[in-house]
Amino acid sequence: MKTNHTNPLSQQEYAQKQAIKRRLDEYYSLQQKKNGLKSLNKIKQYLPDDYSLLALKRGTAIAHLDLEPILELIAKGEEFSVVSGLNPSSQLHLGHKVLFDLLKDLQNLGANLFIPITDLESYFDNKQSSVEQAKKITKEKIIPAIKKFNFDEKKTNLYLLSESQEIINFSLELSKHITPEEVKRVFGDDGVDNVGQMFYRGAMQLAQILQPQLPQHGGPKHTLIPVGIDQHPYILLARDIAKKIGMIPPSELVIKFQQSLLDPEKKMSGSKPKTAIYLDDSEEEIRKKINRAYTGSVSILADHRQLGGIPDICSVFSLLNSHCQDDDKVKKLRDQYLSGKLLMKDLKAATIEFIVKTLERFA
Amino acid sequence: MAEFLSPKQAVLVRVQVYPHMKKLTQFLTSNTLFEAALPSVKELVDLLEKKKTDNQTINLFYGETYDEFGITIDSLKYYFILSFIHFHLEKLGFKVKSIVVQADTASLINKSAQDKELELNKQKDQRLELLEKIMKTYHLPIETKLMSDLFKSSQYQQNIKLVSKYAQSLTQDNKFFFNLEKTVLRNRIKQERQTKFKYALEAIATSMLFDIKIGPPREQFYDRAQHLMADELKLDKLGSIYLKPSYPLDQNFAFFLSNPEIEEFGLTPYKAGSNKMNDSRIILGRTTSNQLGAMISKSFESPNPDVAHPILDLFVIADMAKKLTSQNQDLPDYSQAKLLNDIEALKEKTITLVDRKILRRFKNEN
Repeated sequence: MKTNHTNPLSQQEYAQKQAIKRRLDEYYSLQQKKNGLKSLNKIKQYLPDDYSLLALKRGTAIAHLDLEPILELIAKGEEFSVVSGLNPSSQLHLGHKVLFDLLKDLQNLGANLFIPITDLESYFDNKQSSVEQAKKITKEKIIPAIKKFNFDEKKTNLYLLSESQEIINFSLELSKHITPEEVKRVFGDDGVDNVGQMFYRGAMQLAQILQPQLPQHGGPKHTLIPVGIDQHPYILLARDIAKKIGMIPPSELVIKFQQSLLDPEKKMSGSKPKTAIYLDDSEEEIRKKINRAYTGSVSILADHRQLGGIPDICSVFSLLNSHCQDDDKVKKLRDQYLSGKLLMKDLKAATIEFIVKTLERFA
Repeated sequence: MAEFLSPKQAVLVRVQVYPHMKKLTQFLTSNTLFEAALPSVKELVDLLEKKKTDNQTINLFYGETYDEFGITIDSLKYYFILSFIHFHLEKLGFKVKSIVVQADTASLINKSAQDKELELNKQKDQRLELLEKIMKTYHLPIETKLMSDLFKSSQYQQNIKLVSKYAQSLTQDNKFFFNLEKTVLRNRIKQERQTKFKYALEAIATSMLFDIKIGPPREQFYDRAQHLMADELKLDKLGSIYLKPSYPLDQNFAFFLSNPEIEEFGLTPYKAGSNKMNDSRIILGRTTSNQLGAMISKSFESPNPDVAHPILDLFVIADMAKKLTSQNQDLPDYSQAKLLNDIEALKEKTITLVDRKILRRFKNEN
């Protein structure tokens, strides 16, 4: 850190931001260790450029469990399955887009997608006042937005949980294999407030994860589940159950949350509009939100030039990092921002321009 | 893992003390050819210099067992590098003797070979014949010795008594055995325990007949065990140079991720049947030019220096074959970055060189 000629307040501000970066790094590294997840470093070294997903290149994907069999299928050009559910508590935002971009990339590599919209979860978790309300937002806002990702319809199973008799039947079957104690052990007492949540977490979520392995979908097969670190317990439970019922334990790819626009230690949340950019936000809203976003720069301009920015905690840079495909552009902006040559206002301008253009197709 | 000083440091340190050792030090720290040295390149150079001062012969060796599939191209890498070091030391005025030990007894005690004694004896004769041809073709200064013959020497008998007595004095949880367990793939540990590490103890006793060993990376564990014993009994420590691991051809990137043990240590270079991957290896006299082309074109290779390099390794073997055929005995110098700059070109060059300088010379030999 160059501190010779900087204001003490800037030095303090910079140190606080560095502390946030350290906390974030420690959080993910501790989670990886605690949950027995594997680093992606070796995979990144070996993965040929043709297969290198944006999420891997940019560090959005941070760890895995048993990803190797999926990579073997990819290398052989064979099909595999990916399950990734969506809780319809709000309309889609850029955090969802990270996941759907990943799903699209995986589909290009041979994945058959299963995308359950978990309206029942929204209801059990009190995120929607009724199942009907959850269905309404799904049909009016979410499904039309998902369709704009241009998934191959023949290889995409997009459905509403409450309307899937297959999932309901499978959940009932699975529920006999899991005791309430097991559910509480995995999720803790706080995660299970009502019987609906108990049934959802202990059976219905597992039914979604294991669905591609049902006989009607071709029987046991390797399945990849991209998840946030908070969903890791579901995967552990699903792996245990899979072994009990003669299915293949699913593989896991852990994805970092898209950080909140206001706080790098929190995630973008659909129910908190100021933290998120929705896919259908207007240009004006995007501009306003990005201009107010938390940054990795100190407040005094001259000191930013001296100290440089901290891209890893900058909510503005994180938007480019997670969504911009142009490696050279992202690297150049990152390097310039780190060195202090790129000012915050210029990074914001470049990000606004990029995000507005990117979201044009969702308007 | 055994460690190098970083090449630059190693060169600086040793070159200041022994300027004439500059080339050898640079060679031994090449990251294209070598994985590591034990104790270190610096100590190997010191060992060589001490031998010279004492007017003693430096005994270099490489030991290998074998299976029914024949001699792999990977064995050639060991013969060639042993030879280049031999030639260079001789030019510097050292007295050198280089031996390739054919572990015939070890091949016979291998459980999978128990019922095949006759067959393996026949293989031994064929192997010795082919080895003679290899030595002549590439003008190698290496003598071939059978382990069964070495076993008859009084020095070996003393060594094996010492090693066995030392092993018997230890409990099974001693670091010595911990190292020996790491010399084999996990699926063979049980078998080794049942034989009380007979093979490993014989390998250590054999290595103590020599000063410097050239070996695959996994052999560091024999040598670490030997060093533990040497420390305790005040014996000379064996110096070791570990070459880059040998990898199967015909495999995609995912193979190396799904097989981390092979990714780290490679296959046993001299056993084509290592991990039942004989179809992905080049075997002298067996692999045809067409098979070679198919295996190489489908093989993983990457510009990333930190991953397995099956093709680069093969190129280096073939290029050394080319040099030695024309009796160019100078230490070779390979720039990894340059060779990995264009993978397709590297694959093409490798196919041509391996075919011309190796396969064609041993056609119908197996």
